[in-house]
Amino acid sequence: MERENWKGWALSLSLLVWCTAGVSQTIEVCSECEYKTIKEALEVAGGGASLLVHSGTYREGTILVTKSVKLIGKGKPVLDGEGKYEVLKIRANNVLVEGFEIINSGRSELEDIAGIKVEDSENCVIRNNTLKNNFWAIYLANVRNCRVENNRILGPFKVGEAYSGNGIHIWQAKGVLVKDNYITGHRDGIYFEFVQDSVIEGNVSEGNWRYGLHFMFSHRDIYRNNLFRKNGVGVAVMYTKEVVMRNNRFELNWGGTSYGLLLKAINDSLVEHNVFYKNTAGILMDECQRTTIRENDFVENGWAMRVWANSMDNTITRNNFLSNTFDLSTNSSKNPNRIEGNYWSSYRGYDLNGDGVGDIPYRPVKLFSYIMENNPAVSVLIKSFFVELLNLIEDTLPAVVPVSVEDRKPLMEKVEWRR
Amino acid sequence: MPEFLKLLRADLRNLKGIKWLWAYLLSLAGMSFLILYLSNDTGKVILSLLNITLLMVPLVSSFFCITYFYDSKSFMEFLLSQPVSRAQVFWSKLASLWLFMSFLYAGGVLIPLIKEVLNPTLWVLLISGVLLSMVFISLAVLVGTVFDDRVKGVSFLLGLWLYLTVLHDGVILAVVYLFKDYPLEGVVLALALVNPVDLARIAVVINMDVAALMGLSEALFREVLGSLWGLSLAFAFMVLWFALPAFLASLLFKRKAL
Repeated sequence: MERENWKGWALSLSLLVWCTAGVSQTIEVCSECEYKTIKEALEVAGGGASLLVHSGTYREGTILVTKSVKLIGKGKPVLDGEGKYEVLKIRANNVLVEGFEIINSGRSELEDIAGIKVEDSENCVIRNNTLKNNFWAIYLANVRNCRVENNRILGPFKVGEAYSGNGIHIWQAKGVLVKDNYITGHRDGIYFEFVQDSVIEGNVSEGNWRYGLHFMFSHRDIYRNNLFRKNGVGVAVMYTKEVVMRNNRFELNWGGTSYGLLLKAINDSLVEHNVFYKNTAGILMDECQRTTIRENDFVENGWAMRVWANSMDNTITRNNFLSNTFDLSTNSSKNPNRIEGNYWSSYRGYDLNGDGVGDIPYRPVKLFSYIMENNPAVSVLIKSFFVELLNLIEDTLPAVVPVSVEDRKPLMEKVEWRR
Repeated sequence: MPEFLKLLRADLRNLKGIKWLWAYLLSLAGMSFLILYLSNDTGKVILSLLNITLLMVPLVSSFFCITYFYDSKSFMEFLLSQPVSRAQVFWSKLASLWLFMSFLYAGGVLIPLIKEVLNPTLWVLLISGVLLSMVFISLAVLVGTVFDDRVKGVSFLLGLWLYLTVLHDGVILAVVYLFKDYPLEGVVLALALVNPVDLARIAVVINMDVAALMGLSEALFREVLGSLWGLSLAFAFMVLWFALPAFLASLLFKRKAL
């Protein structure tokens, strides 16, 4: 009995010693320290060690991390890729990268050279870094449970595949958290392929020349409180199911082929409490199924929504459509989606029984927008008198509209939803 | 040439004395002020002004000018007994109308919007409006020369005005709707280019952010309309639209038995 007790004590003591030894191994790196480069420090570091890198500029080519270390920058040390190298390459679990400024990665037309690349790892944390003028900025491939938090990512601000890659690029991952990052000047702000069960929140992605957010085959992810603004083509998400998008803002994505949010083959998803402001098209739905669009605000968009008839069984309800040039357009006379109980600022009906629901249905698809969806050439008639006249005629004589889409229960007052 | 200038001066003085024309300027200015008062967004103001321009300018220009032309016929006959050529009499009449109506339009739009004088879109609107005035003046004078009967002339012009401002767009829409299975960009573009009202509208609209809604169309379309070249093309067609009828009218006027 006593012997066994002693054994227990010894075990816990040795565990304690081992742990503290691991944690307390801190290696300082600076121009006056024992270790002048990060590479030297990495060679002597044991697993779990902390590398405290003091301010200064480090030009070390590609720094390859193959041990579970914590890289911590004090006073924003600069890691410079000199336009030639991938700056930081991580191939170990439990790595932390914090407080660095990583600049000027190399460029290549064949490889995806990044500021920080993490491959085949688990539990990595990349936070509070600034990345400037990198080809790809943060690149995660085949990872699990990683966190990318509070990084400031400024791209090369150059248009063209050969000049700029994506801001945060994640491929093949599970359980990732991407939080409070700011991304601008890249090709796609955030790019996901096969990233599942992840959370993306509080990010700002603006002024990227292609998409603010772009993902494919990334099931069961949650997007909340993000802002996507003034990106070349807006946000495009594809071939994914069970996505939740909540409390995001999509604004000022204005251009010939732009949209706030392109939903391409998105199934069983929820788009809720978002604001779409001044986009050429707020939402474009192409081939979506069983997706719910509820309690969103569509304000001053060219088209609030373009719902193509290859989208089926989606529900569009309790949204506010406010001052859009076109509320809804579609490319077929029938539209197999449920559009009901929305507020339309251009609805002109009355509510005589006072139940808050308009007495006559609202037809959001104007004849002109229907023709235009099928034959874009007719867009030369935008702002034409004849078209205005046509809209007036449609309101008074609904029989002339060939499109059967209607909201049978248009609301009389704006939906007040809370975040 | 001095005779022509003398005639032009006399014609302008004559136009200056017509109170209704000043009412036209005042109503344009009044509406611009009202729109400015209702909205601070310059884009929306210019778009509203475009609508007013497209409706009012052709209407006022054509109907005032045809009445005026008929009214001054007897005086022109009297003038022709003097040592001046027919061409001088005709062109001074037309030029005075062009100048004065353009001045009224530009004044009516520019005075309230003087703060926006550096906005390029406003200038596109102004040039479009001025060209549109000139087009409808030429058309009115042409119709006035062709038809000696006042009633016939005015009704023909009414029909022409209705067709160009409203019905032509209906024709375009109908063509697109009926032939929706065919590629129609070129056809639609051609149809739009033959109507001066459409030209004026497109010239303004492609310079505003609503133009993004046109971005869906095919490349040809964007290339033709969405550039400085496109704008010049639109304006060039409008110049044709006022120069051709004017030239035709002058030929007819010279041969006409008055």
